[in-house]
Amino acid sequence: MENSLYVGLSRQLVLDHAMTLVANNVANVNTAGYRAQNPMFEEYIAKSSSYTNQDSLSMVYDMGQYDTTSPGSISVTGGTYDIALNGPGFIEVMSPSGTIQYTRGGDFTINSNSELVTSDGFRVSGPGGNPIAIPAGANDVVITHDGDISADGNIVGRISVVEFDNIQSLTPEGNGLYSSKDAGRAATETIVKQGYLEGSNVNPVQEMTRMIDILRTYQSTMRMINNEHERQVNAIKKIGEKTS
Amino acid sequence: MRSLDIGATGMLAQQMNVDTISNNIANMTTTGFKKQRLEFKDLMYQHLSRPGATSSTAGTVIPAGLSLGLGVKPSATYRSHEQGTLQITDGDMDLAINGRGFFQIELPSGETAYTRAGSFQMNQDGEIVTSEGYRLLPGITVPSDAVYVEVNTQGEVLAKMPAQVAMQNLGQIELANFVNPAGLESVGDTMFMETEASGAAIAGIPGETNFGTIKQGVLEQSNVDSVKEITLLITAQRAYEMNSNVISTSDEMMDTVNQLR
Repeated sequence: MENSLYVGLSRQLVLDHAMTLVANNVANVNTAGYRAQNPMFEEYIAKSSSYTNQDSLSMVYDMGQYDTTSPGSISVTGGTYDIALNGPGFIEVMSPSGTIQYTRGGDFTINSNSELVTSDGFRVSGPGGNPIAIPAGANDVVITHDGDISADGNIVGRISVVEFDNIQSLTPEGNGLYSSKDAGRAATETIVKQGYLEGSNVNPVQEMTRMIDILRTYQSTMRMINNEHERQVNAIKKIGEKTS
Repeated sequence: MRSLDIGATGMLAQQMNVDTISNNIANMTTTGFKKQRLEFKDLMYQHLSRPGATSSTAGTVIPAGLSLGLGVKPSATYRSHEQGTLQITDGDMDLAINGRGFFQIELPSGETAYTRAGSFQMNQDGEIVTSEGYRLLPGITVPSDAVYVEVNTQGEVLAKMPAQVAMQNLGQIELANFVNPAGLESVGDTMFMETEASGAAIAGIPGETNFGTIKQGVLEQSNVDSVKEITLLITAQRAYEMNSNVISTSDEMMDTVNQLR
């Protein structure tokens, strides 16, 4: 008898998650290399009664999410260690746990050991997981389209850029990093651009519209639950009048 | 409701962004000021299901997981050490560095600070000091009867003495360089302190490899680009508004729940 309430409830739980995704997208509208996340809903069919041939109920649940993979806006910063990727690839970064993780946010700098690091201090990894050291006092650091880094004309390392068959299999880990079960393969379609930064690919107009949509759906579901509640109250009242 | 807190992290981050931009604009005409840029990173994620988890005993794999992000955090203020524009002032003791390097300044505490602001003056003892009165290192004293003082591009301080043909060499200005100037700590008065992230100071003579040259009678202005800062300010303000919209929407959603009996 409460089935219709549960259908409404399943919708509201899902909308709450969708709102969380929108809020996170909006909060990261200026985060370098951030990729917008979108919810994916799926129908869940439950038999309302196991022994009769009644209609089955269909509920909703969020089975996952997918990232918008369109490139973010590229801005010119002129920074020596600011890197934007043109193409589907990711830059390999050594996470504090010692595993390779991946990022699109190229706002790098160098640490006291003159190693190339992300703005959180994680080392950017060359092929084989080795850190990239820029010689102290290097005057002119140039990063080529392949990711080769040269200091005063001598190649000192290479930024390892990888591509994935299924970008959606990457798990976001925060700090602009993604983890993956597959190692990925050396990039063939990605170009490294020095002096540029990729912004986030969040589309503010889309997020705002989606937010309005979520709010109104939430309210109408709530109205449905309310109506159902009133219907039950009335039903009980009427049955009560008949029996008395 | 997570979205309420997430909206709050967004507003806090954008507030800090506006703070950074307004500091840049306020210091638009500060000699030797270097602009800052705020970097953001996404906060942690709550993994309700990870991609690659199995959804049945037959080994079917979930193609994309469910990871709810929990907002944004400001991760770093990146200081751009690009060269500022050089302005001719014709001041005797106005020195600008054209290229890399910092002037070394002795703080009253005895520590060494580094600056690009070369608006030096002389104190009562004839020592070259900053406008705060802190001594330039290595210390150079100008005799009181010097007719004029000249600083050449290699940083040699020469004085024309009365009744002498040759210029008298008073000392050599040394510059300091850092592997990672962006890692220097700002201490105000356009001065920086060495940190672990910047690496140790490497002293050198102006004009040597990796060191800029000295220009007398010129001052380095700030490297703040006003047009760019205003554009950034607009972006930050709109992002702030959007985050506040997220909060009011979440509030309305909670209000809807509250109306349920």
